[in-house]
Amino acid sequence: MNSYYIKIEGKRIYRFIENLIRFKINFQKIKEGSNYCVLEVTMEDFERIKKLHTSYQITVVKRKGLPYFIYLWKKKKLFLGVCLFCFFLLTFLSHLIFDIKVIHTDKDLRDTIYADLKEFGLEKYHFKINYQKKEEIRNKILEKEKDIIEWLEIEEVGTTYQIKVIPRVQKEEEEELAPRSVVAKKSGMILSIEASTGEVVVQRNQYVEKGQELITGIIKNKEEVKALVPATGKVYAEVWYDVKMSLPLKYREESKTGEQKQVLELHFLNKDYSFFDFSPYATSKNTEKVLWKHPLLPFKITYTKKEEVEVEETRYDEGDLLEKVEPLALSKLQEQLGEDIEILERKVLKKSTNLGRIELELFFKVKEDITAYQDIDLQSIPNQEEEES
Amino acid sequence: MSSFILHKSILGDVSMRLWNPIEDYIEDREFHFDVFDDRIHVVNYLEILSVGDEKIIILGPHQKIYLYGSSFSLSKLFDQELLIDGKLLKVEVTYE
Repeated sequence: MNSYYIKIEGKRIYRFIENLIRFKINFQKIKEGSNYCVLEVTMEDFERIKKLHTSYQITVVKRKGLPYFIYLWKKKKLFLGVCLFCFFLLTFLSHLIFDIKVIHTDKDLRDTIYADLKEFGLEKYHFKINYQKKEEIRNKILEKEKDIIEWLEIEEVGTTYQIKVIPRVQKEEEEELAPRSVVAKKSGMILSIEASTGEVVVQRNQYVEKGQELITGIIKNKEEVKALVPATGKVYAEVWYDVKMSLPLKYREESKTGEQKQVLELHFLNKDYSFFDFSPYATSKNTEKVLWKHPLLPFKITYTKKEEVEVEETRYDEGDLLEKVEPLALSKLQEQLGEDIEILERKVLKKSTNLGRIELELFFKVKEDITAYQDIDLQSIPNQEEEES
Repeated sequence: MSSFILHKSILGDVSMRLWNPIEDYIEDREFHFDVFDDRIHVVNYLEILSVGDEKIIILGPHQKIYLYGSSFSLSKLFDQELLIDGKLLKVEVTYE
């Protein structure tokens, strides 16, 4: 109920009550004293009481319902205004899309999906979409990109959309291979040979030179060429390597995790304060776009692109040097030779410290795939029919 | 068909008997006043003709009520309802 509690003060209160009866003003008595009384009256009746020309002192002691909210609004206008503004701003911001991520390693596929999403109405800094619209976009993309996409899912995570894609794997037609031989890619000692077609011409533990034929595609019977086949197989050999490394004793490495976001920041002196950044990165690489800057005071507001960075600090000591350096040397070898290698033996040939750096020379015995293919020069094979005639 | 009419009439009668007291409670239209130890509750009056510490005159639809007592004061004054605090000693009713 919308009402006022008013306190009437003055001599002979009953006179005032008589006036209320005369003007048919409704009231309910709450409290009464010798020179005062507290009445509850409705909003309309309070307006009528205010118009009465009386010598009694009338003060409002309490408000109920609408008068209370009107009074509160008048008194706390700024605070309530800011609260309301923040509420509407938060509601507005929580209905915006701040990021769209297509989760796949293939950049071309990601770009295609981004373009399709934009075409069908799912864009950054636009309003979020409902379930029906989401399904509609998903189906449209699946229909449009049916040759390259097998499955697609649009997932809403907070104010971002994550798109999970599974590409369609197309089986490449096998090319018809020309007659060829398997040759050694580099010099080494043969450890194993797996031949699926062709004839093996070397033995295990045999030392071979670079370019030497290992599995031939020329199938012979007593010096007579019976068939020419594309030799296929895998030959593993023991190869020796010297790896020279020069490393700083103290090493700091920063690597991007791939996570990034845009944040509104306030900079004051050396302090940075972020707005709406509820999960700040521990370390990040920042690219600032200045929105406002005070010409004299050290105060500015920026829109900052934050890229999450992982920092790794390494210190090489004499004791655990080999343990730390070996993986580095191995990765260096794997960079050159590929993942399919196996370290058979390792040895430190030379070690020295110079001007805060460690110079190392390491020897590795590696089991490595030395398979390479070489086409058979058909002109070099004598024509059997011609020879017979 | 006849059983349906019978049921309908019985239900109608029962519902009316239940409804009338509820309606009376919700929407009281009759003039009456209730006397308690320390207060008098008047409902559906037309006008208050006079208010004093020891005498109050109230106009009803067809009658005037004279209330005599001590320490009278109005506790609640609404269009249809009146609550008077005080001790009632005598009541006079005059029909016009």
